[in-house]
Amino acid sequence: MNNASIQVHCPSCQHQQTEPEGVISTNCRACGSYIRVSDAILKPVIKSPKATRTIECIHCQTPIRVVETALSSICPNCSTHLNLQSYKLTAGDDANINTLGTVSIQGRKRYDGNEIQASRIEIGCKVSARLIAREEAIFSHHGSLDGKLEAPKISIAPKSTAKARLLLTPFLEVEGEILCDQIRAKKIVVRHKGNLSAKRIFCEEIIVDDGGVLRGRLTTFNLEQQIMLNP
Amino acid sequence: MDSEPLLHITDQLKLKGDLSTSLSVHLSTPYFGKIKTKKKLHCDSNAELQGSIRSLTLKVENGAKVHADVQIGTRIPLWLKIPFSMKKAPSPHE
Repeated sequence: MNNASIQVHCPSCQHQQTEPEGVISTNCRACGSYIRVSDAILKPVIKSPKATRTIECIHCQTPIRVVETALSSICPNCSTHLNLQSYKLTAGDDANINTLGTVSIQGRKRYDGNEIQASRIEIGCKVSARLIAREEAIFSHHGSLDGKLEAPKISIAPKSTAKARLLLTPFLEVEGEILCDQIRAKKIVVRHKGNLSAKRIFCEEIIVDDGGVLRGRLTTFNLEQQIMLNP
Repeated sequence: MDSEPLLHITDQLKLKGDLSTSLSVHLSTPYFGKIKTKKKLHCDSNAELQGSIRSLTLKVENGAKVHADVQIGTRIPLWLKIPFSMKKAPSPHE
């Protein structure tokens, strides 16, 4: 398919418009005057396809392809409005957010909010809220959470010092330092220089690499015990 | 393959009481008590452990049943630096 097009410049009102390559004449879309194209060509424009990404509807889980820069979309299956925006939150922004983008909570003051749902959540300051990440939650800098966090993967970034009450996740990766009351995870990995201290640790599988530190009371369990389901 | 000396605790090897060693430990049987090692501790899916663990690294496979106080890390605790036979018995006056 030939996507080549040209920019045409109206000699009457100076309006610019795009026309297909090979056009002989046209009318100005602003003032309606006749334009002989051979006199008014500016430059050819080659359109390249826009980058896309695939998201999943939060309601019916239908995969949807959207333009990389899209800020919202509508599910073609269930017509749910999908927020794709990314947010940077600081103290005072206390609205409930449900997005398929990234939410980054930063700042020096404590953030108090109700519930945040996002694909990816970055916690870089003191936060008091209920957080649900659909893909990943990351503690960075001095991230501290007073509330419940649910995510398929929780990471403690290297050189960060994090605190949390309850972490509920299938996979926890510790590369920084975290102090926690209780952790319920399927798998925990403490990497080199990672430091995990918790009063109670419930998991199915745990690996502490050379150079990693783990302290606490460890209990391994099977999912049949349903500790994950009935915390 | 890891060729370092290894203490493999299986159901063939009956151990009672606490274990303190400088070898890596591979546990594949029920064990009740303390395990202290200067090196690695690996609990495979047949392992069952109740008590406490101190080691340099830890790997607990899916299926293992562990209920223990754990302290894993690079800092070698004092008790590992002093041979147990050299430990001074606590004085009744202390």
